[in-house]
Amino acid sequence: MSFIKFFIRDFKSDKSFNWFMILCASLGIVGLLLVESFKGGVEDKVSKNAKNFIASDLSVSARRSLDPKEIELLEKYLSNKKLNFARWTETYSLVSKSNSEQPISKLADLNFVSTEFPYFGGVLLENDGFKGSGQWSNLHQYPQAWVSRDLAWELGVKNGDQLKIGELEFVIGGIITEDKFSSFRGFNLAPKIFLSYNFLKQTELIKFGSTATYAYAIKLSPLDDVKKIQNELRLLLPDKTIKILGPEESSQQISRSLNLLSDYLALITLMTYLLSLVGLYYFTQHFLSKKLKTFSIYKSLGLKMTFLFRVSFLHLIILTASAVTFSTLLVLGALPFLESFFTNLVGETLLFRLQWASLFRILFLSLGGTLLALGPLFWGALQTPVATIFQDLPAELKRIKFYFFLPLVLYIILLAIILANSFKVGGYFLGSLAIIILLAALCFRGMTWLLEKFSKKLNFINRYAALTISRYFTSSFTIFICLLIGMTLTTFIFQLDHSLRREFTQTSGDKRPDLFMFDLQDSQAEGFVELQKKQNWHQTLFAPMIRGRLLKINEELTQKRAGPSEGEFSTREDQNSEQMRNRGVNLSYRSTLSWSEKIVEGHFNGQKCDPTKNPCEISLEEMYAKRMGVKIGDKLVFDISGLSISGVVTSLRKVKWISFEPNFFILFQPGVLEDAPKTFLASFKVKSIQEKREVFTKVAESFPNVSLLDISELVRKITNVFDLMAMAIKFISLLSLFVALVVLIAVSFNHLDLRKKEMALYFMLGLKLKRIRSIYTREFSFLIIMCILLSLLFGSALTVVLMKLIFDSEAILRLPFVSSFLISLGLILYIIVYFRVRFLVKSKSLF
Amino acid sequence: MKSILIFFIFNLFFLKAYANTTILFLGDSLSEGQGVDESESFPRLVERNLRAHKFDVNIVNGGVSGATSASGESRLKWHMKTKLDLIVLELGANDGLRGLKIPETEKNLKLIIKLAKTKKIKVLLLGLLMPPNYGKKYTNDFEKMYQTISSQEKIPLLPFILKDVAGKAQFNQADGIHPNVQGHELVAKRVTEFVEKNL
Repeated sequence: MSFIKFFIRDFKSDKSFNWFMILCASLGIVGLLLVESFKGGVEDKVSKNAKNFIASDLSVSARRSLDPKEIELLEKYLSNKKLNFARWTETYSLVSKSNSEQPISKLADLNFVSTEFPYFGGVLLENDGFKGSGQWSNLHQYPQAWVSRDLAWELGVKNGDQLKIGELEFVIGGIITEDKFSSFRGFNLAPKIFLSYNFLKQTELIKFGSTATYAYAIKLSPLDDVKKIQNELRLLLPDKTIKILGPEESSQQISRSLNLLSDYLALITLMTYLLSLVGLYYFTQHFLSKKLKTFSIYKSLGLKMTFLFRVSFLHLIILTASAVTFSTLLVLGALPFLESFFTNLVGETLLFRLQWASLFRILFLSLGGTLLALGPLFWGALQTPVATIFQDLPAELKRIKFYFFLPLVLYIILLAIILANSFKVGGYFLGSLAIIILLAALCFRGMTWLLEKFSKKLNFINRYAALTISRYFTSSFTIFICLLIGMTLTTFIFQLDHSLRREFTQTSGDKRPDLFMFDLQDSQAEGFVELQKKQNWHQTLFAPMIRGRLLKINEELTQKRAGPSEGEFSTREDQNSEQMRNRGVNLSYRSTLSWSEKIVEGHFNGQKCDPTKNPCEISLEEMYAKRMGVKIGDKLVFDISGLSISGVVTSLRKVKWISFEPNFFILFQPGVLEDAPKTFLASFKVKSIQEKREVFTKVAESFPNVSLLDISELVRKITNVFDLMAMAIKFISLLSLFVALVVLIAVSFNHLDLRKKEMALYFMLGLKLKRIRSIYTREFSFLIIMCILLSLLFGSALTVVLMKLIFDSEAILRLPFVSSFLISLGLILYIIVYFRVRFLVKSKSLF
Repeated sequence: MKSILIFFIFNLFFLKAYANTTILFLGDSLSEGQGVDESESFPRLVERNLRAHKFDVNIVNGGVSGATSASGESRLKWHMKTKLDLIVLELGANDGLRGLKIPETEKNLKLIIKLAKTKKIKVLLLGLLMPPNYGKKYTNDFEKMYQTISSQEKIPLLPFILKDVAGKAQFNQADGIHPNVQGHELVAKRVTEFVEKNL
């Protein structure tokens, strides 16, 4: 019989397996496809938000004007690549209302933009709506200025009034109520004005000695590779003072949160896939147990093992490809509905896209995993001796050696690294999972030993259930591991989801400040506190700031050490670390920690210290301590305005990086820095624009030297991105949990199906249905209870370890919630067993 | 015994007359040497230059990044806890960059000078200019402010310490404002001559 003919006949004979396998594999693949498309949608959205910041796909900027050679190289490159660009020059200047008897001058952040600006983002003008890409032509027709609402209010100007900017008069053509762009300097020292680049020269503001940021905002086509173009431009413009930034790099917070999201999605994709593989593995094992006799018959008919293996191999390839096709069609059909659902949910348009590259990746991933996970099962099954034909009871798959799965292990490691694009993420996750499986195996062995030992003391039902677990060790262990991994990953997903979402959102109301004040003098502090109390402003922080320089760490001088000069450091981190050692730092002191800080090592001492008796205690920000090579117990000496002040590091702090609160690397215990020359910083949360204006006015009147920054726009822009990410994490977690639930139910079903002959036999021997049901439900109860307990332990440990190692954050455990969920899951499984046993016994499948 | 006493009195007189001179640089990030090593900041280089010219000086670098003129008075009080012979005042740039009102800056700088004078400490004033993008009026008024203070308070003024440094990429860091190591050398050369002339 030819290979094809035999294959078709064999394939047709396994109809139920084929359908189940396609369904089970599809479950994981659907999960992967949804994660991929959702990831694409969210990343696209985040990236678009970030593009708004720089108004383009890529920006080239410098705090000096590019020289003619650099301009020629850059523009020639852009022209060769057929890339469009806009010019954008940002500078600060004093502006005042024209024709005013006593003109008020205010510092403004001037943005001169060319006609092509912006490619992304825009401004919302009072009475004139949103002005996005292609809608800025009015600005360029005559000297016109679009002025931020705060500045218009400070200068007392309105639409149609004139402003003197440099040597030119501009007519106010629009009042900006909202803008999507960020400043090249990270934050705005002053409110913004947008002006046409055409009139920059006439203002006479830019000449030798002027300080400005000169930028090119570049638009790429969707097919262009941003990283490649960035690298090519870097080679053309090697001067490090020229920044070549993509959208994600435009904001430190966004860049970090994107990395976080990307790590999370990689992890969850891997987990969803592993979950489906667990289900698939268990299901195939079940199928093969039933097919062992068939294989023995084939072998007795003279078919070679390699021939049979090739048949099985092709079988698996066809089934997996069918599952991928089925899942893809299903997901493609569902995407428009999902898009509309999520767009309604978040109020922002989300486009879920499946790229060809993603599809091929998933096909390759599914084929690889299926063949490497199930291939060894088939190989083991094919080695079953011919004599199995004469056995009455179903044969167990005992010929599978652990090393058959080594390729699978290597494949998963490789997969983890590819998916996560990081050895760290993949390695930690798999390493932790391997440890869990090892510990679980030990626990299971211990449990069976205990059950055997004490079985005599148990009643009939319990004894029988206990002994069944140890008698059917392989099959019981398989279902135990499947349930345990499923439950552990469920615990992990719930807790990781919660912990990560907490990273992006606030817990007790939004505490992020709107205004940031600095340079309040020591002599003004008391007056300011009185004013703040009188006006009832919501101050989120008020901290003294002392400038110092680290002189010694444990009596060793920290100043510039003999070593590589600039450009000779092996890594950027080394260079940063060296520069940190040599620079001035801001210090502070306080008796309590701010809401955005948490001690991660040692203890914080807010009590007043007496430097004459004991060295005062210092708390360091943990990353600063790492860069400086300082640990708890080290003695630091600072130069503070010519005086040496020393202290001992007693704690390391973690600062919530999305708090937007001003933070200090170094905090001293109160009692030592109070007399040092200092200024004060404060941040406020305001209830309304009116209150914001009130703060600006009162502070300017009473403390003219003090600077106030409005950071609310920046905070709002970035928190929008965070909200989207938090939502992405929640959705993908739910998706993964759904896969876990279905896999666990499928595994339980299969496990019972394996035992149906045994059940029918008990029934024939006269055991009542109630008793038979009790035996199986009790056996399952043992396994479920143990799985719940261990998965709570392992899942929580996994969350704590991975949050620390991968996300460098603290895990927030939800034990009561997760316990309730797992108990409910256990009850569902119990009910399934309860009814399935009844069904199987009634099916009288003994014969 | 008599000769020992004469020797002791002579030594006492000699030490008092030629004891090292303590100079405080009361300034901002320029004095602090933001972005460069403190040993490469211009006050330290001035110390090195003066010592090379046989002046026995001890320089206290009181530069604080981001400092405005408003902080000067309280910072000077802190430094006056130790003996000071000369103050080199380098403040006002941050006031200007933040667009603060010039009369306010002028008032603050005068307060610092007056405080020094009450303790009979000589003051040298280092002038700064605002970049042209701040507008003609503001930059002119800012420049005049130092001249006014210098003439009213009768203290020597170095009109622009960043002369030949500002606006030249090769002498500045990436931010275009703060001098790099080479820039500090040039500033130090100019300031050394100024201090030496007025010491």
